[in-house]
Amino acid sequence: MPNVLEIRNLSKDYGDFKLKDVSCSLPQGFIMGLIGPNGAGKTTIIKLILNLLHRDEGEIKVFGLDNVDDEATVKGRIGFVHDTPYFCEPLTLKSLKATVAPFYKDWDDGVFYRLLREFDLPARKPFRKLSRGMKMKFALAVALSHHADFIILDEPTSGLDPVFRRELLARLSALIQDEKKSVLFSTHITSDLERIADYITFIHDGRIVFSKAKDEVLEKWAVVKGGNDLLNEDSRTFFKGIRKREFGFEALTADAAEARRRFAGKAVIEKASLEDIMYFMTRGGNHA
Amino acid sequence: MLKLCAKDLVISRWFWLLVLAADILYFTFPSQQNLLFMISGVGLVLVCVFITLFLDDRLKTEVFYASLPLKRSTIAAARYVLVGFLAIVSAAWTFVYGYFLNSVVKLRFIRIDLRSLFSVEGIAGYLFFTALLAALFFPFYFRHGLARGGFIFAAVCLALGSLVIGLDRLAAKVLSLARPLLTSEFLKDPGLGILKTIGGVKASLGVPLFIGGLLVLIAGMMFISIRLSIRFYEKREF
Repeated sequence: MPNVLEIRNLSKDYGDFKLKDVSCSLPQGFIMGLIGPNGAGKTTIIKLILNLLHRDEGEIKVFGLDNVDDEATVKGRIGFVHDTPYFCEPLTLKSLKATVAPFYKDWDDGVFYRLLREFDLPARKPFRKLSRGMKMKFALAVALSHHADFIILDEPTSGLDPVFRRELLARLSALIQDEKKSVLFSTHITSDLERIADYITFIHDGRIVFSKAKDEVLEKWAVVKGGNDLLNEDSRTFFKGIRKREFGFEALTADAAEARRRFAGKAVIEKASLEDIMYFMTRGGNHA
Repeated sequence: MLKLCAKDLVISRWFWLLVLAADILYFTFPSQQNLLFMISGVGLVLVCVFITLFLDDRLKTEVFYASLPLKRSTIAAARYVLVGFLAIVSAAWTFVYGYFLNSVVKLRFIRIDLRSLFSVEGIAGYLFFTALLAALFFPFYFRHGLARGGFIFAAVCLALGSLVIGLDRLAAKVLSLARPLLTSEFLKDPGLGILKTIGGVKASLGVPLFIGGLLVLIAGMMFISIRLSIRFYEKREF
């Protein structure tokens, strides 16, 4: 399966924030979740892919093409939703469609109006009168109306009600069923990704912590809960993050099998959720 | 590029019509001069372009349009095409409205010499000043954004105006090289004064050379300006 997205040694220096040596790839026909706390660099990566920011080093290939040299070709096959949907507020949704559609050769009016109906968006309502959730839905409708091969979504579920969030996730899952379309989905609502993502890329402080298949991550990472007497120099090094309490500790490990061997019968070992991983890796460092 | 201009038309059309309404109202006031009428043509273009850029800036739609399947160079060049389109519409409107005021309404307090304006000198002046302002403004806009770019543009215009006046005084009074441009006769109706000055240049060069020189000058200005704008916009980050 060819890669729809390949990022190699990508760096961007803002002065007060640096994206350092980021590498990851997404095979065609899969969903990749980009997770990390606020300010980790998720939006920066997405903006670099869309050439809204200029990379200092590294390369980004989309559909095997350089995202800068073949910008128009690449973007013609991408559907995107930014974290804040910026459209011309006074225009109606129908007029907005008229300003966007001509730029896509595969724009499909039928799909667009069907999505408006499904999302309960009135075509003649001005964009400024929509709620944040409705604005996000409209941005999604635009992104999905030109038969894009690669959908890039930056925090699309923030501001959406749980019902529509589930609908959106189901829609994205359905989208990749033909194994031709791919999705890159940035969020800090990790439960969304546990439902639909095939790959997880975790970014923290501008660096990739891991970029792996979700099942592999959820299988290998575990949370260990035990008494404080289990914490010694060796176990502290073994854990990726520890939260110590009065009567015991919770810690994250990237080697669940080794944890079972070491702490069998002495501690509770549970599968780590993506939220656990994000929490321990960002807030629960070895501060016990 | 035309798609981008069409997009601007859809977004800004009602605001442009408001500007037109203001223009209509403005010229119902007495003591209008040819200069004001000439400036109103260029002014219409500038205000309409400014409104379009202001809407983009305020609603932050630049990020969205920069994400569409377009090259930055296309987006930058489309702004110049928009100016060209608005310049044609504005010129047509200015003459139609001027004709209406002179011939239909026949208000005695409005003195507009349409024949002078609809001449080689008038059209040359209109094209030159519209092109000069666009060529000056856009590189600053694409480098610094609307607010800062607009401020620098205004400062540069002021500096250029002062330079022209200063050079005129220097040439005429200190060095005694030429007759001063800014005489009391000129200031009575600067519009006709400007046309007379352009007429003087045309007479000394001859019509073919004058038109050829003007076109080369405008093309040169626009070429340099577009290259700079594209270079600046390609470096811009969102």
